[in-house]
Amino acid sequence: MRREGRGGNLPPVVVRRRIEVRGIRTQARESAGERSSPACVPARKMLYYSAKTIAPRGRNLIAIVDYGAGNLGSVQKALAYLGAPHCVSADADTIRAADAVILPGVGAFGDAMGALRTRGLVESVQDFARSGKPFLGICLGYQVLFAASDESPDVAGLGLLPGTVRRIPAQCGDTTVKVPHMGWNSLRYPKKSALFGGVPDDAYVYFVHSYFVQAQDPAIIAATTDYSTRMDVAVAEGNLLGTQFHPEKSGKVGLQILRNFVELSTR
Amino acid sequence: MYAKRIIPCLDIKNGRVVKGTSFVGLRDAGDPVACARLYDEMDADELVLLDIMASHEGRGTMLDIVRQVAAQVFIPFTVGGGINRVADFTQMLRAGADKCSVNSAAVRSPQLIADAAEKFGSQCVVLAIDARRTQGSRAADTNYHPETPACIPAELLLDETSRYEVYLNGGRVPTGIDALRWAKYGVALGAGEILLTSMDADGQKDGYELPLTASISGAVSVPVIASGGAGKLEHFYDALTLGKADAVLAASLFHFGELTVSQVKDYLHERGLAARQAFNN
Repeated sequence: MRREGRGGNLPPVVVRRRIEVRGIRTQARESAGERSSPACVPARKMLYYSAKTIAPRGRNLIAIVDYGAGNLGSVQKALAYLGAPHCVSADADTIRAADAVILPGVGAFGDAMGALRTRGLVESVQDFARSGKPFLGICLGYQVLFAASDESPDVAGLGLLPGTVRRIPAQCGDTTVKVPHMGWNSLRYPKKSALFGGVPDDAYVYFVHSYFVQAQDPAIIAATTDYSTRMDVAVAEGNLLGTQFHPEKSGKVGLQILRNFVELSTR
Repeated sequence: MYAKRIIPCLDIKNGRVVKGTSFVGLRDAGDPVACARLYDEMDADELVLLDIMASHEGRGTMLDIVRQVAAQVFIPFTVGGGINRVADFTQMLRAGADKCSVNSAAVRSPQLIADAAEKFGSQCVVLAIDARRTQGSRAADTNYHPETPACIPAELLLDETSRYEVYLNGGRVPTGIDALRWAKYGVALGAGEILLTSMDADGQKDGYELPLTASISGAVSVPVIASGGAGKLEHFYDALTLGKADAVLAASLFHFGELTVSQVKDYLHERGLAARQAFNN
């Protein structure tokens, strides 16, 4: 993987292992007899280089977790654009040693947790989350922070935050909406958080999802949006951050949010 | 509030934007990446990059453009033109596109929609439909010679109730397929979005084809992007309200600077529709 970034410094020493990443395949809900609409895009079959990196001193490395959950390319490109040192890794040690971690995610809850388990990454991700270093879950990577999801009822999430993940209702009172929630929607901030520094009220961000988080503890909710119902679309609990929307696809607002996260990783 | 989307479309031929010559303020109006960046600056919600040549030889150039756009523009974008197989999806998505649109290839082989949706997810799959008005089944028309692919189920074909027909090859070749039924079928197979172009309205600047958009948007559970016919600010509003479209696409109107995305959004705002207006860092 070509390292992009304008950090200056000597490039880190990189030990590369070429691995083939299996894609996550969405499972149709046969019982419902209808075409399932995945929470997000399932993984693609891609070849990734998993870099076990030894970063030079002073360089704050953000590790993007590679668990076959697809679309981390956009996150990579956004970090490259911001000049933030980063790597893509499926290696437990690299993840633990990183200065910050981003858990991207596209696909179904059960498949994502299965993929994390298959790659032996559940513990390292949980350990990192408990380390106090900045951690950002995006989209499905945000949903798996919680204990469980209606999308995959028998599958346990990472259980780092209390709450549930429910299907977005197509109907709420008089309102009928299309599911997935796909497009731009505006944010409200129940509390101030570093993640949204410099981002105005009612800022628009980009969503693609069929399931939404209901956080158990209102104190952790950093942003909400309204669709057929109010949804908790960002949380901030100490070092643990998560967004339902895709900051890497949310234009200038999204880049500002990612910039804020990058800044947290340099503290 | 959930916003309606304004989507400029870049027609790309041999790696250059066509009809981009009147782009105000750009040193090189034909450079797709520069155009994409400019639209991003101007608050476009998404982009469509359409490879209008769609040749095998031009694929590499298109992929380069996709990679460069993905590295500099951080809003969703769809790539269309010459997407014929799942491998084309793989290439384009890997290069950085968020969605791929399929048109003729899907009509000729509907299984492509299902295969791509299975592998990448429904919202990576946009079904582009070019539709023309029709009166019923046109069986009595001796000059009418539709090319109906073999794998299209009989129930999708035109009958007396049909009002719109699916066309291929830029609106030139009739297929005998009812556009509404094709849209529903495509969504059932896994299409996550419909890009609906009225070939009657396209280029006329007399408004989008509202009955077409409204009937399809009301019948499917996925977003519908209206395309073809934009000429004035009111047209955008009508498409998003009477036309029940979730998004509107326009090409030459924006390229020639006759209207800007911001003007459209301000107008929609004035008339009470939610439209995303970004801020400047």
